[in-house]
Amino acid sequence: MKANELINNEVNVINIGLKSFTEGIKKENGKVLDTDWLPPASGDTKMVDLLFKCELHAEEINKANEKAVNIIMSGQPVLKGIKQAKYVVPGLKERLILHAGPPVEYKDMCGPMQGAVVGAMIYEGWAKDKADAEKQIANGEIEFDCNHHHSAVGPMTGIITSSMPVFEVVNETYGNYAYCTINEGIGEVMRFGANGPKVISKLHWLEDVFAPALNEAIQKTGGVNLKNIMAQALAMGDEMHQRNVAASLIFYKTICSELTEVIVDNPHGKEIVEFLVKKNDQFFLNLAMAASKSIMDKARNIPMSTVVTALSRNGVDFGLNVSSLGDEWFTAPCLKPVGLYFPGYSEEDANPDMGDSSITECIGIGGCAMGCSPAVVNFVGAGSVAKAMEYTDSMAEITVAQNYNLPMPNMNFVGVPCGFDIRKIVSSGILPVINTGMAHKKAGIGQVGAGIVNPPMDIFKQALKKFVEEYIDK
Amino acid sequence: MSCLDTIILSNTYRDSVFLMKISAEVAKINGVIEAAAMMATERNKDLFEKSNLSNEKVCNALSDDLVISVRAENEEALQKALSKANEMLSSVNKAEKTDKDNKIKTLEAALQVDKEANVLLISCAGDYAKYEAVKGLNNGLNIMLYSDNISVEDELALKQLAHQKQLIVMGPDCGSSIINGVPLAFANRVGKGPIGVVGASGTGIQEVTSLLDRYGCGITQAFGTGGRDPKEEINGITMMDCLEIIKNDPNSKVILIVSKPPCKSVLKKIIEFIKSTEKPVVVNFAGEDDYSEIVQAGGYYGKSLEETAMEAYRLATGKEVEYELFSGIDFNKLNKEIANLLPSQKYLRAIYSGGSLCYEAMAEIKKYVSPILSNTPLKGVEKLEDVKKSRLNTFLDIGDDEFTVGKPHPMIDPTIKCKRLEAEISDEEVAIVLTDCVIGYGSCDDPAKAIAEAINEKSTTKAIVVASVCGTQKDYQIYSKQVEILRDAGVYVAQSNYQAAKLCEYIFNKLSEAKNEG
Repeated sequence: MKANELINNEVNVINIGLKSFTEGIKKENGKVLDTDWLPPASGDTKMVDLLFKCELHAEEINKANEKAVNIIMSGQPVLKGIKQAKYVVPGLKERLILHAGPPVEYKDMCGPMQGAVVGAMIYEGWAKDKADAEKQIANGEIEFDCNHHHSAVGPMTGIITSSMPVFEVVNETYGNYAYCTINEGIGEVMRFGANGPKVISKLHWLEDVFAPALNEAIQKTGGVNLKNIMAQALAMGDEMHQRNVAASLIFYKTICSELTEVIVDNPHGKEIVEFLVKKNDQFFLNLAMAASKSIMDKARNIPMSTVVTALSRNGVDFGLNVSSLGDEWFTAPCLKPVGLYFPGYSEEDANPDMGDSSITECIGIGGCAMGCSPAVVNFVGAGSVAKAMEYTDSMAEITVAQNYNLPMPNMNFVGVPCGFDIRKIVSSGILPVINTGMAHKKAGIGQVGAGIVNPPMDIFKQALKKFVEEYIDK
Repeated sequence: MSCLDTIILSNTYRDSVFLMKISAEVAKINGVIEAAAMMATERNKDLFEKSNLSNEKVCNALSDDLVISVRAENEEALQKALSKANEMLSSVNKAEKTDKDNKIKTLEAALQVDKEANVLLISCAGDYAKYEAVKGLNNGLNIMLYSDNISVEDELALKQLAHQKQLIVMGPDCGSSIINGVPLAFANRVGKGPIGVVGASGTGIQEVTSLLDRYGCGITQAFGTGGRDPKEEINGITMMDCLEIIKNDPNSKVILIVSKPPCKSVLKKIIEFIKSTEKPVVVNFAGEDDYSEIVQAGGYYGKSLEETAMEAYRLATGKEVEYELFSGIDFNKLNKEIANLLPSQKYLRAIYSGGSLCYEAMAEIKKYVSPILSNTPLKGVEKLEDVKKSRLNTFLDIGDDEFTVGKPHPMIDPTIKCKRLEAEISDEEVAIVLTDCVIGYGSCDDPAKAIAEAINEKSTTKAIVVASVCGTQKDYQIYSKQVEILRDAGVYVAQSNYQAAKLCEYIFNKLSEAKNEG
């Protein structure tokens, strides 16, 4: 209320600090709301100084962030087909291996990612075995880069090489594309670092048999709107990071007649349908990831915006991108997820957090939408449905908007919390919650459990510092 | 007769229950005959057709499209219905909070609970206070910033932002404000009246408003600005904004300004302000003697806080304050006590909880006593290096940083002040101990009793104790009761801080007379 109107109105005070100051206000018929105030940024005065500077420019920052979330909310990801990576993924070439998370050198990769790299080289025919592969890598004959630099994402190790079939998703609102590999199913799979003959032959089957058929079916539909599927799946209890049962089925439903037409004379028809529908409840995850990537990429490079554009892990470091800071990575060591382990495994066995899949949280699904996915609550270690809803509520405190295009029915149709704001994260001390699977730290053993994980706070602090240097102190 | 229109939202999905709710809400609007919101599946298209809600747009819609079709009696109802549907589609549902622990730990949370808030009162550590303040401003709140330890650059940034948003930042280090009778931080219970106050000093505001109340007058508002506001760096941003508010407030007939002497530029602004208003403006610049520019501009002044309050009273009521210097002082007793002082008892020790009161007394007494040392020296006064040890004539503002870091202000908890009083009273070099007793909201329950106890526990030597009580009869500690407690303890209680300082002058004169005679 403007100061000159204050003298004609009831004084209505919020009190931060000395409780004794509230007594007089009450006695003189002023309204007062006392707080049990706690210092912001957990008392880190350096961060509070940065936040203060940001807040002096809040109007510009908020405007930029609003622009970013409007881009996020208006994105329309549509699956156009499946292509071999080399034809579509920008900058992808022979002997270049893309991986999940921020950039990392082979020698620094975790066990599963090294295993997947070797597997990919065998699959591509670049190497005959591990020794051969590592020799070539040591000789500098193989290049590495991260998926995010190539409009792509991949789960867990996230390896993409030139022959792999990838989903091609276009963000129809803006015309940009994003790519993700096809989910290999469960068990011994490359995303957990396995590289045995079974894994390699499965990849070839995907390339030769499955992808062409599914691609044809998708083409026949003219494109599948993934956001509509996501909205429906939210209403059916998926949060689309840890649980994709409903979304996978809706996807199948959407293409079933076209797929039937395509495979009616295909001798592998039954295998194809079984792989798509029966054997893999997480099939849609990779589509949700490509959709999220296509949405988030358009929110990049908005000057003054403090919205997170990527959260991503390479199994060693957790990486963060922030809209106004372009492609600069802010990294710190990954934490281990907390959750439930499959029988026979324990925390000892778990690899630190890994994969590009946390791109889903960036648009507001996954951990952000946990409150409307009661079925995953125990699996991801949230404890209770009420607790899961609290997670979603707390995500609303660190995001810019609630995406009304993705409403959560059991939470009074509130939109999913959308667009993490690094200022709010640092100020409140609340970290994004990511629903995730856990890989065995040894290559090839596979998934050992699932749970929730937070990014390290340090990456947000680094980014905030850089943001202030770049946009406010200058 | 009836009219039909349709909204098609392509590639938009909503579940059917939500869409049914839209249909029902829209259908309730007066003049709407039929309304339906559905995904345009083949089956639903049939339903549109059967409900007489179909048109070409509906027929051409794709199954991914969301269709809202309304038939209404007239165009007006139709438009109303469509905009209602749009509003429902785009509205963000707000979750009803089921707050588990009801603790409000952040300003953001408080703003969720109290959407009508218009003032944010901050008294947390300065490191955090500025951040809370700027957030408050960004949420449209006026700021009362009691906290100190905020840099002048940050103060300027806050005040510039506030000014731009037509809000005010009272502070930092702002001890007192009264808005619509509501006390913010330390303030006295003061009657309503025609005088609007702007003060760059906390206890300065408390002293003038309390005196006005005791004269039977009162105030509209009292805005604190923080002590640095009239300095060059801040250039009076808050002071000038507050003066404008009071100028435009029809209830304020007289304007009263208390401050340390402002910088040239702010003085110029004040002079321009005086010229710009018909309302009489009374100023007090603590320690200032030359008010010629103010008078030339048509303004009024008081050399002390008391004189300023009296002048404002006169301008507001057309009457003089009935007053008698040193009324209530038992001079027979005082003269005896002066005569009984030992030759070693020569010095004055002023132990204050109110910074502006300390300043006022120091400015008065330094005219005839030297040397004077202080932890908050004004011009011509030496800096007391070791604040733990008083020397010669010493003025201490116990409310200053070096005494309050990590501790409550002495007006809230007088322990430190009273320990110091006790030490000074029993110091064999001390003839006079001068102190203040500030009551009102924010102050402790019985500051007079704390002072009285400090006196009673003193040792053999006996300094003369002079004090004034800053407060009103309406304050919950009750002015007259506090005076009585002090008098019972042997304190000479003057009617104002200025008179207390004058009484010290009297005692000094008596002492030097005795010396000359001896």
